[in-house]
Amino acid sequence: MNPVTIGVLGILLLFLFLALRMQIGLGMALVGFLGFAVLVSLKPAFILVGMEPYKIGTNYGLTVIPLFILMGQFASYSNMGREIYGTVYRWIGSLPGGLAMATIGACGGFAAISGSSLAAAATMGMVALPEMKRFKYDDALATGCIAAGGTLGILIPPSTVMIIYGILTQQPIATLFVAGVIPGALLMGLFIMTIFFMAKSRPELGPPGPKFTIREKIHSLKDTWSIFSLFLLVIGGLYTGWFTPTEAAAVGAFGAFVITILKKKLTWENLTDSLAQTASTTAMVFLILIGAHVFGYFLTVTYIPDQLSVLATEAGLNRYVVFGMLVLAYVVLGCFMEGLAMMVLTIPIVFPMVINMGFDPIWFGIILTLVMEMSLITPPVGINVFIISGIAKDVPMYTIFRGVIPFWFPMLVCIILLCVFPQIALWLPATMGR
Amino acid sequence: MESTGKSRILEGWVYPISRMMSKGASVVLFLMMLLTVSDVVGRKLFSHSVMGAVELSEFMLLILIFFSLAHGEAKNAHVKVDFVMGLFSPRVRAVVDMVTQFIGCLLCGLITWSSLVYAGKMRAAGEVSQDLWLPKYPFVYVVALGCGILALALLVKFFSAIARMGES
Repeated sequence: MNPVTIGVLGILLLFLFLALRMQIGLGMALVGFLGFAVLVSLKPAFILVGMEPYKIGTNYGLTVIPLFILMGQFASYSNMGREIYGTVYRWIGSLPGGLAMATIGACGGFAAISGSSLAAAATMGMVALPEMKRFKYDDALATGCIAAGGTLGILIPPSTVMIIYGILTQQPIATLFVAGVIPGALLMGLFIMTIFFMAKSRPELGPPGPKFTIREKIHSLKDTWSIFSLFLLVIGGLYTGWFTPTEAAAVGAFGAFVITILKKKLTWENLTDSLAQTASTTAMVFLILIGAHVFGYFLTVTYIPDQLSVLATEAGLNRYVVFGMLVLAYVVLGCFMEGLAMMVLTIPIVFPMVINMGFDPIWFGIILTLVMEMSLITPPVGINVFIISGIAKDVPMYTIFRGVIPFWFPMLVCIILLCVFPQIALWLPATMGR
Repeated sequence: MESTGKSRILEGWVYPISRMMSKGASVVLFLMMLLTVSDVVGRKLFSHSVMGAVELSEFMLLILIFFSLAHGEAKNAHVKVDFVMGLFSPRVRAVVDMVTQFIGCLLCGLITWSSLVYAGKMRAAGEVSQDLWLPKYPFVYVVALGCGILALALLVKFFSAIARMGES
């Protein structure tokens, strides 16, 4: 059998193991080990699985992962989510659909200090949902806007998805983060416009909230100092080149820790819980990373990534047609699979192909992040919807999925805009300090 | 019933050990944050970095990961694709879990064995870190320990799958 055939069999075997509910990292390591043993020989495969975990575990560049996760954990306990919601609420809450719009705005603000969409959805769910209930918002809109707004967590930096993408494709994390800023703001704007038009055409969906005087509005701005300073310190530090990603992550985590103390929200439980949660997520991510690396060694000796990229260029199809098919495939795959898993499984194959077709690797990272966002809210497996369903126990899951449908369109529009104007993602990184 | 008993006994000491290790991981994580922050502040403001900060962070990252792996398994934190098996009956799921978790346990055992061999080689070669001259081999033993306990945690899952088979 030639290497490509063995490679294809290996990929099929991996899909079988994953479908049978094997831990994704273990499945990838197993198939990688077996495939490497078949194509090279048993001894090097045995050495590989002994060395790879140590090599990945002692990679200094990867310390960004736990540190940024920790920053988000502290941020969740710090009350910053509630405060930013309070501020945006005072400014736009009295518009039609205003509370839902404020939720999106607050999700964007929280996303600026947290790299996780789940955390953004969970935090905002607890803060914004009771408010929208109080003002008799439509259940579908109220839950849908939180599930969708929460996805901004990975597009607006910091972002765990971009970190993993950067590690897997060897792209600079700082550049990816900076590239996410404008698309993040754009998507936030598109979400808000969507709500505005919905509430305009059917006012019963989102009745206006209370009005506030201009004095109260300006006064409420003081609550946002913590988010702004943390974002400026971390992302500004990356933008100017003052911090490396690891330094920015450590300073960000420490900053969020100090802010939590200043706001008198740090209890022993919060501290141990933040650390334990971060450790658990770190273990989850690294098991997958180790598996992905072992699998990657196998994939390289099958020559499948090379052959596919040659095939894609020689097929003579317009590169945007190929790209469109890829996005479609991701959206479908994203219905059934968790985003991180989908990314580590596909990137070794898809990335060389996309680069070979002449697309920008940073730009593609942003597109992929957007597709990951969609995967968080598409049925049957939409993790953000599950999170909201856990908070809004009286709302059927079906209603939440119905509520997120209107938000797919701004996401698609955002992807199309990024294709037509790649500068949306690439302009800001081009001005970065080195 | 017999397998339920086995799974209980094994669980009774594997899970507490993994929980204790994960507490250690939390402490190391907090120290890692403090270390990197003091290194950054020292370098940017006082142009004086912490000696060996980079390699210490690396070793801390390693401990953080491998001390948390098994507890992550105990808490079902490791990502799986649930969608397909969700379509089948609990009995089928139990049978499939039994097979996959046993294979996973064997794989982790293999990784443990291989890293023990690797640690032995490093010890014989006397490899040390760059700045602080710390011997590297103890940290490879950390990998072996973490994977070994993960293998045991998967064995617990294997026995509990057998127990579920008996119940349904």
